[in-house]
Amino acid sequence: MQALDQSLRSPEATAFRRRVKAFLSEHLPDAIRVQVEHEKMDLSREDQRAWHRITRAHGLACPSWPRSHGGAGLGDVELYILEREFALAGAPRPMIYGVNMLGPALIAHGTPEQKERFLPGILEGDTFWCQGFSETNAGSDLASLKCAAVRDGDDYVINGHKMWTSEAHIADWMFGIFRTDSSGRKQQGITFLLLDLRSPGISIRPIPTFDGTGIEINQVFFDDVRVPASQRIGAEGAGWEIAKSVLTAERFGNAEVSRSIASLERLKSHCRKTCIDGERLVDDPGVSRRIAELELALGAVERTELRFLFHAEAEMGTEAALLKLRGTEVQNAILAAAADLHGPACGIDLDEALPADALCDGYAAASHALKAHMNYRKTMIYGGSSEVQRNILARGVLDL
Amino acid sequence: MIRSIGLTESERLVRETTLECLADCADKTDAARHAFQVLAGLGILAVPLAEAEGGMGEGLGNAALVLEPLGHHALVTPFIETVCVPAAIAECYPGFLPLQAALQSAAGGGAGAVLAWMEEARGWSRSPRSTVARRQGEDWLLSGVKPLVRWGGAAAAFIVTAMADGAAGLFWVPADCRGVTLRNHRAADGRTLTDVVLDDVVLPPDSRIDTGGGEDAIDYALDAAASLSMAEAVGLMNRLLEMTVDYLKAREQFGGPLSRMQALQHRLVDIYADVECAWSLSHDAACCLSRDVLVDERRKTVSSAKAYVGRLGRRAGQEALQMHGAIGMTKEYPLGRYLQRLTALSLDYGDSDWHLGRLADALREDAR
Repeated sequence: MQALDQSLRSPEATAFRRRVKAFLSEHLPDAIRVQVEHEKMDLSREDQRAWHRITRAHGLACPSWPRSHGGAGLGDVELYILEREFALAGAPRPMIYGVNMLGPALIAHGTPEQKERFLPGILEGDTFWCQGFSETNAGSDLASLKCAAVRDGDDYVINGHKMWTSEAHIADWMFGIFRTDSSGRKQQGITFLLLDLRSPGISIRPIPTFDGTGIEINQVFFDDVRVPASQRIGAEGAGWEIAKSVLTAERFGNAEVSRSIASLERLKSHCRKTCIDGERLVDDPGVSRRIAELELALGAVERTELRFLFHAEAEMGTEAALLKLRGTEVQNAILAAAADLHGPACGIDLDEALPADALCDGYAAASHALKAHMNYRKTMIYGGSSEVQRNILARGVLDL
Repeated sequence: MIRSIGLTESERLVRETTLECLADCADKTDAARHAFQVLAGLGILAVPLAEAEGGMGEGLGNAALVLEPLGHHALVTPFIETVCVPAAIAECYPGFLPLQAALQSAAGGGAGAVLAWMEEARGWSRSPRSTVARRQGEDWLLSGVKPLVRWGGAAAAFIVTAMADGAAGLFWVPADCRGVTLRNHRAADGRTLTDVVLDDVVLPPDSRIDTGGGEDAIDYALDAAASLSMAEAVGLMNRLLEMTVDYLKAREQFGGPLSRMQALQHRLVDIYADVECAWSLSHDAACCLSRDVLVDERRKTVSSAKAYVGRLGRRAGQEALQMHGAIGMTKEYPLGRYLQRLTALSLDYGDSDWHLGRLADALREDAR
């Protein structure tokens, strides 16, 4: 039988992998790599932009966009390899809201004028985007959103709020979905708008999280915010379908398989280097068995992702929900193990600067491990929680 | 339930043909035995063999195309033991002619040879210890006990693992040899298990199959069995899921079908996710059954599949039973046969813990 990763072994794929590896070893800045290796997910605006511009200079920015729109125009095999090699090398995630989410939606649904106006800012890394979807009473049940956009002449006037908005505090613009009609089904009457966060009437309240990573999420308030109708994507009332396409565009990437492979490699390396009572962690049968279990569970998701991507007889849509479901479960199990195996120093607060000596190096690593373990619980909550993924699979695959 | 099966056109044809003809067999009395003869008649049992021997010539892994359908219908046959395992050994020692003949007979539905490798109180250990072959002039003198040989009851010959000259050897022992005593038992899933007692069995010099150290061949053959048994397990799991979904849709309680209950929906989804993952790992484990694949890579791939699918197959069976309720406990309802077979497959050829241990050992070895 044909190996599931057959298409990744062709001479073209191998040559591409070599090219990406060479690019990374030469151009990935250490200061950025170290943060990623500490599992930091949201880098600063400056670091994100710096890395984006490096990839842009080498033709690897916006990898999935067609060349005609300035992207790298990569095929599925190349995208898969790129994502894997970036993760293994400790490169950051792309600026996902612009590059992975809004960009493809604009290319698919935007007018020529909208594409011309908004794509270059994403491509060059100039404009920071955030996503205004969730509200306090519209989380898992997203279609219940209430934040209202009322047509007034050539504008929409927005009143209400958005909740859990990642990176709003460092973003320039927001794409979001707003209620333009509440008379029909809740999925109808939702409109997709782009808005400048400097518009009068917007206030942003950062929401600190308990995990010690600083500010990642925000609440965004709208008080008579005027948005020109020319910044509407698609027709009025057609926002739900566009939002769904934005969420499912990343349905394979959000299994986080590549990131988890890198995390597990780091954990293995930690277990090879760290001794307890003179014995390396990896030589403890309990530890090696725990790692073997994690490799097994991750491998199961990785191989299934390959099968869905490269051996699909039909368009795999709904099934991909299981990749997010299982992928984020494994990811969290890996990071929990990493926290455990960093031992007693876990939990030291890094907000206070530590002296730079060998002892404190160990403290820092342990602290990052615990922080990641806590922070990444969010991957099973955002982008459709594990329970929402199960609902999707129950309805879409099992026809329940 | 599985929409993306990852097979080529010709592989898919074999799978579908097998599924169809097994569907016709499933209602017959003594269905498994009947099905085995039907598959033999169609040449399907030869699928893992070389083209010259009537097979597809694409390697042992293609046996999965037959085993997954057998699992789908919960038909318990000696296909792995009489065809696949001997084929693996024949791949290592193509010059040993009695084995080739037995393989032809087995693929045609007749008696074949089975591997007798386990020893008393040795768990799933693969290397022989208490079975010993000593030289007696030109001949070999073989002694020891091989308990619970899978499908040993109808075997024409045994491939016996034994210590010989300080290494693991493989010996060809016809079932009717003087000094061979057989005692048959019946397993919960319908197989026959045979204690093979070897009491100073005199074997001619050409009875030794290996050429001075059969450790690798034994490992390869048992990896083939472990791998392919998981293809059958995946078929069983997938069908169990369908059966349970259908049952919960039809079963009305509390004024509506049970399938409307979210608690049950989520449990069904978890089985579904397990089936998809199991499908991928068992596919990998079938692909790596080739002498060209690096031994360490093969071991890792096979043990991953066996550890994962074995455990999740049983969990799927137990969950399916729980969601069915009392009807699932009855002998008449088919679910029990699926759970029995999944349990047997998960234990056989190394249970999940044994294979996890092998993966953990490899991790420690890699870290040296």
